[in-house]
Amino acid sequence: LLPLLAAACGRPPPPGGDRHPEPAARGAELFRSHGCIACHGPEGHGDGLLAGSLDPKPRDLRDPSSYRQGHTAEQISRTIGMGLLGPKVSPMPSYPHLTRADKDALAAWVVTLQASQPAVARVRSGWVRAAPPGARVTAAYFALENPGEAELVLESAEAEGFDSVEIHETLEQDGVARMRPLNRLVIPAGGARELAPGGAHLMLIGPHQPVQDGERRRLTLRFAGGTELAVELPVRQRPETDS
Amino acid sequence: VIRLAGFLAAVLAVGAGCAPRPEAEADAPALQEYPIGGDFVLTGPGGEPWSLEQARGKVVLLFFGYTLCPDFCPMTLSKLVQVDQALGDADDGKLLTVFVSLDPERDSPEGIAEYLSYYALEAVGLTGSREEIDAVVASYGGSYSLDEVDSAMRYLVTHSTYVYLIDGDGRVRHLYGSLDDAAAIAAGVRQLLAAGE
Repeated sequence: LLPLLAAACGRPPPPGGDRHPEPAARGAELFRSHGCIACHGPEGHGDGLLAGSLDPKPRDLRDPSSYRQGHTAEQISRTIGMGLLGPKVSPMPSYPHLTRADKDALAAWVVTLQASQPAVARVRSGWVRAAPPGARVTAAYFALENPGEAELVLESAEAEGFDSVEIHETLEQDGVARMRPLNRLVIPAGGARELAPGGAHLMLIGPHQPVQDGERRRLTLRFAGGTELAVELPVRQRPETDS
Repeated sequence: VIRLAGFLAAVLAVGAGCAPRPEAEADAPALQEYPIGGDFVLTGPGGEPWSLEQARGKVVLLFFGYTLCPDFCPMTLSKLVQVDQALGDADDGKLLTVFVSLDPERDSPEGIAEYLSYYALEAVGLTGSREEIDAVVASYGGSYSLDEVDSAMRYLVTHSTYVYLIDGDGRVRHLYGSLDDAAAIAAGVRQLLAAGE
């Protein structure tokens, strides 16, 4: 991890000598001792004790696209020193009293958070359609939100307990329903894509066990670029809102 | 491949034009007699011949589908369960759901029966030879096609989504589209039950 971080920082140790060999580890200490966790949360997920009272709320530091003034170590170090600037007011204060080494150590720590698990997409209100015994297919539905600033492309998926999963879309026109496979599903930056009955859905093929009301099924969504999202969806007979 | 959607659309347009919607009951469709459908014989439960005539005296909700359909067909069946629930005891023994498979190569009578048994409905699943099915689809003004696709399913069935409301004399009285909800369908069934048709 260390050589990687050094590469990410792309700078020699600051003059005056940083005697700590592990800036990221020291950054983690500083993150706590300087009160960063009060807003950013212990792991930088944007869920600190004060987060709820802030507007805008602290971003999830795992998601590089959510950083307003850049997500490289150098940019983060500068943001810590100057606070968040720009047209939109932000509660993120400046810490001009920190030494360069401290700011860089904090930045190095924050960069490791990004590497840990980028929040690629969020799944909302999903469900898997319960299927009759002997049914060879069923469908999964959910809304995929993309909080990032780059479009996300869902390329494939897997479901525990099924042979395979395909992305399909039902198109209905003039009283005729047509289903067609989709190679990919694009979720625009800052947007969402709804997978719903009568529209796009994940077709779950070859269940190993009956898919019964009240169960939960695990799926893995794979996005272009290699990121994955694990989701667990309840099995229902019909949408929750539809009583 | 059968393409009669245009004909059906024309029938619907004419029907809509000549029968003003009664104002008596909200959700109540303007029931009329469509010049489509009629009796047919296909293969039903146990591989036995099944004739629409056997449903005389019952209100029938008929639709076309296939069991490898993950989205639309379960959606329709769930909706018909809701229709049955909305009607309470009023339809006991007097309402029959008829599911006609468009995929006889992959849907056996037993398979369809098992599939339908999952839904809380009095339902009959039918299949037959490709020619027999084509004739029924044609007489109901429906359409379908088998589309080969890049999928583990090899082909998918593109098909009409109408639910046909058929009265106790075997006549088509209304067609419900996918946007018609369970309440609308229940209102039509209730109307036929009340008229004793």
